[in-house]
Amino acid sequence: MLSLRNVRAGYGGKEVLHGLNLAVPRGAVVTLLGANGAGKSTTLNAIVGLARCSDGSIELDGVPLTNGTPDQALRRGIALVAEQRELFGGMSVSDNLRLGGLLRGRSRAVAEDFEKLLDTFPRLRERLAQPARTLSGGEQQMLAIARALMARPAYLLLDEPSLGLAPRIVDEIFDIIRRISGEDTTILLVEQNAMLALEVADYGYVIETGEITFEGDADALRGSAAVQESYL
Amino acid sequence: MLAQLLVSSLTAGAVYALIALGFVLLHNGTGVVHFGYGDQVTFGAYLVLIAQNFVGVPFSAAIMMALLASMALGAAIYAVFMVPLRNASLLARLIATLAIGTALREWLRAFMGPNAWPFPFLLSPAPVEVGGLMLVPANLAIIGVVLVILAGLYLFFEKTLQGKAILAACENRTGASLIGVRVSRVFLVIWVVASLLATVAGILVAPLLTLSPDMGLIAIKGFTAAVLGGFSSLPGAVVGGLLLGVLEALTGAYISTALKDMISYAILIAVILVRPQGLFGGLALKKV
Repeated sequence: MLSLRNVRAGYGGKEVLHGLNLAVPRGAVVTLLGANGAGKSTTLNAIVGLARCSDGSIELDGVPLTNGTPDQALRRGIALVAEQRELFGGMSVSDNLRLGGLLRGRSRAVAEDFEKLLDTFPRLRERLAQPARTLSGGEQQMLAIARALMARPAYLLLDEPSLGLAPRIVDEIFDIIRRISGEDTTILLVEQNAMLALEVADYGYVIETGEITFEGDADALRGSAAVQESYL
Repeated sequence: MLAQLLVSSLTAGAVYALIALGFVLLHNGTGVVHFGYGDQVTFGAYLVLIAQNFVGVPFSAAIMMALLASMALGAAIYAVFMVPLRNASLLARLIATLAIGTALREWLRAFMGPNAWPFPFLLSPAPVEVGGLMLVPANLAIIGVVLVILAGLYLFFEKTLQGKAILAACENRTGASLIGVRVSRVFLVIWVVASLLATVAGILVAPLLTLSPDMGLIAIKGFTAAVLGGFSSLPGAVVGGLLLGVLEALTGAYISTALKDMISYAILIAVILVRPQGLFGGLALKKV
């Protein structure tokens, strides 16, 4: 269980989250919905340590994560696919992927995962030797997700995977997210496209100006007048 | 004549390449141009002298001690100056590198004197004729050492995941951190490796020049080589170094020996005016 309690967090003294509570049980797909600037990305960034937490606690299975660094979070099994994707643009697709498995060292399991992910993302196989920056937006998003999965994280945090992509590509990516969640990976999905997010999620939170204003099962959220009005 | 010239120019070029590599590594990793790097080159050579004359160990052991001490120096520069200054402005960090260089240079002037010291060659400096070319074993040793270092660095950066992780951290810190790289450790490694390269360059170049506190001026040539190579490309730095060595030798032989040392400044100005991204740095402009 990944839990955030009364988290106040932000960047360089500017507070974005004003006492946020959120829980992601193991095995679930949880989505965090909200408008631009509500604090969705900051929530994910605070979990891995890219945003500073000034108050409250972030815990994984009861052990604090608060104000660590992304590499420490990954060692605890939490991988973030950032909104900016943060790929290594000058390096090949293959190198980007292999670097995703850096912490696991060299083993047969890593090599198998490499092949398996290329089966999941066949477009990446076609582009293995190409520098990552030459990929299209959709392909870069796929590479970012695949790179994060190379670490075999228990928790995958996805920040706006649909952002700026064509509808056909978005469908493809959400198919993959569905498949990943079926493979024992817990997912915390941040999305502006609430309709899509609620299709894959079990549970959802709505965030407004740094606070959770509504939470419930995916069905409850879909049925809620407030959510429908603002986000669907 | 030309063949002889090219062979001879490789010696200087190899040393420039090593210094250029140090500049580029530090710049890629930390965003700083280390203006005290030349003084670290000088300091490295002096470390050998200090170990020989004051600790009293033989030359080979003195070299080992100098290499170890320079690694410690690199770690210390990182821990004492670069960590506290990591959020300071670029200008502040540049001034810090300048101050480190000045401190090393003036310490040497104060404790080792302003005069030149003789420095032993690695192999005999007497030329040997091989197939019509005059080869100097001492110079071949320099080229050999540089080749071994370049091969080692190439294998590390291109063939190991750990090496690629360092390049990845140079390209995108956040991205590297997200895949599990401890970025602060990468910077430490870069400072240690760059300091080691400076000392190797110092040991190689000291017998060719004279070892005085101002020998670090040679670094302007490594800097030129790095600029020639685009200042962001490691292979570019190596090619830039070798090219500068050849251009210097050609200028010295066919135009005037007096111009030999000027040519690197001319190239520096020309590259900055005409092709600031260097020969290989197509991306550098976009990144800024």
